[in-house]
Amino acid sequence: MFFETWLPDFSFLFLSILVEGAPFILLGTIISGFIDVYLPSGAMDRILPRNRSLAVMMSGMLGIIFPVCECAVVPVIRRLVKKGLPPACAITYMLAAPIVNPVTFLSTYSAFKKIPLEMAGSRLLFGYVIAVMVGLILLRLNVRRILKPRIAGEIEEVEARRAGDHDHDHDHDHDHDHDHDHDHDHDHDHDHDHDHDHDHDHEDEDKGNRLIMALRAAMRDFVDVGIYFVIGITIVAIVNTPPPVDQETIPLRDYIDGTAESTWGAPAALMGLAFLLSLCSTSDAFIAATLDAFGQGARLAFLVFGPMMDVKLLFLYSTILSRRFILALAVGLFIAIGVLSVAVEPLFEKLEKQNDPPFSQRMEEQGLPRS
Amino acid sequence: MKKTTFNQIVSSLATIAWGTVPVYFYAWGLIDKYLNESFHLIALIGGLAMMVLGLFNLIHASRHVSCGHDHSHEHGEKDDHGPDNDHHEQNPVAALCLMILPVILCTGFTKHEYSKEALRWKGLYKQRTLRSLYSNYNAEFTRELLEKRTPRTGEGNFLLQFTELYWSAGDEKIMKIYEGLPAQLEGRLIEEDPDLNHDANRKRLYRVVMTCCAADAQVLGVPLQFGGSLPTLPEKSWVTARGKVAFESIDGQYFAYLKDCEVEATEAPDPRAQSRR
Repeated sequence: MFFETWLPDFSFLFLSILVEGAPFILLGTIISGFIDVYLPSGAMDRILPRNRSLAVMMSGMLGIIFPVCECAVVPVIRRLVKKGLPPACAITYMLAAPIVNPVTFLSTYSAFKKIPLEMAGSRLLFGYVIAVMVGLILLRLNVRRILKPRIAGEIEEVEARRAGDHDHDHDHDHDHDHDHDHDHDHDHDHDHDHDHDHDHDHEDEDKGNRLIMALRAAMRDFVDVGIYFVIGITIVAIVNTPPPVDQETIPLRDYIDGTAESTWGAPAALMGLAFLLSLCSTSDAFIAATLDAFGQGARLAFLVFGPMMDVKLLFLYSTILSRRFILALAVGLFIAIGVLSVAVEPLFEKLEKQNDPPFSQRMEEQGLPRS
Repeated sequence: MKKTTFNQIVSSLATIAWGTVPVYFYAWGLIDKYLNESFHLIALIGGLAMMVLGLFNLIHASRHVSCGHDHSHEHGEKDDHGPDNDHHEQNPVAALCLMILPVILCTGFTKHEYSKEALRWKGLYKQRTLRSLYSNYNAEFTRELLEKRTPRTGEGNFLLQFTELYWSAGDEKIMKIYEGLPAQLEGRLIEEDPDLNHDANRKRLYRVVMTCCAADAQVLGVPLQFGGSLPTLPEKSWVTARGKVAFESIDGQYFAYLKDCEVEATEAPDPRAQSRR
């Protein structure tokens, strides 16, 4: 039984999630590798507003410009944090980017034909608001409470070095400029006057070396994140594979369907389902569209919670965040999203009644893939 | 061999191993069993990119590189990037055990489809309903409209979408519109659940519908009732089934099925052609 059915089924599921998610992780790690080598330390400080609250709010919208899904975003923010992006901004971007991006908006719009704009808009708005709320709270916390001790230590080291550079640079002429990453304001004119006046006899070799370093860093990140990804998808595959012993065990979906009428149970169950299914944010709306025993508020909870916290993300997050913080984040998101979804449910019911299309359109509009 | 070079080689091999899987699935026409069509190209490009990345790093595994700038003097800015100074070494055993071995083992064990037990678990013998299909529909959907919009075979059978028939169960007015319609469906043939087959005259037609990947797949099943002997085709054969649409209620739940059925073996449909339909 185990070798004949369970293991082939598990392997089938495992590989299907792997081949779906791995390209996105690769994309994220390649970006992170190039950030590592080519993005000067402190550059993020110049991009984001100096006001930390504004910076957090802006970070929540970065997904519109850099649309990445939840698998790709983790390696990117890992590197950005090491490059000086404040953890509060990084985590805001990490939580918001899989939702606040055009691809997710369009897929949600397509899946919910009955109230497309309302559903896609609410998802985007909720994702943004929740991520910014988390970011604003994190501004008040010490990085050591948020990040893994090793990462926090590295950041403190980099910051200490940059602080040292800052003092040091004031006392010297800037006789060369290769990265233009001075933090102080008064050196900009200077940069232009003295660009590349230092010796670069081995410029081509440097470029080659930098490319190797970028791709080496990308692969290291890929393997680093990949290891945690494997642990996550193993759990997802086990949960979704029928148990090898008791064939009468009721599938998870049937338990969850039983909560559809419960005001608080429905969003809680769908958030639990999103957590266990670990779907990609770019296409989870099509699954949510089929969960129509549930109200739109509960389905919104599924769509907002899933891209922020699921089994595979739990392990991906642990490549950068402390375990205690991940636990607090999971509980906080669960409660906040649950409360919001219950609050908006009556509004959605009203909207649904207003926009009910005729049956002949509904067959086409369910967002169901064709058989 | 240096420890860092060894780690680099193991990481490269892990990356190549991961890249090989989607490329292999794509090249052997198996990718549609794992992923929805919208992910096929992404998986192929991602797989090739993983292989290139792994090979590139494998070739340069023993090469010592730095960016060429001495950041520690004059400018006072130290190099804050790169694998040589982020004080972090991957554990090659972890890469081997968690990245390479699972992929090799799973690729060896997978049968590229669900077992019968998993199909059952995924809802093969269940009927789900989409309430939103039926609530407050207006009177414009009629048998005439259904017949007008649905293509027919030369024999006069309506070419119904599998999902269309499956979801039609659940609302009395809709069921009346479909009731008795001569229909033709394509799907895979499997044994009927003994609890639902007391007269031993049924098989079941099923399709696996996936949104992203096989993990989120739903299995939709429609019973086929035969007047004569049951077909002897192998389990999970692709068939074309013809019969008349009928509905039945079991424990208060409506199911659509085809009665007076006949089936013939057919080729598995091309997923690309399916998505264009």
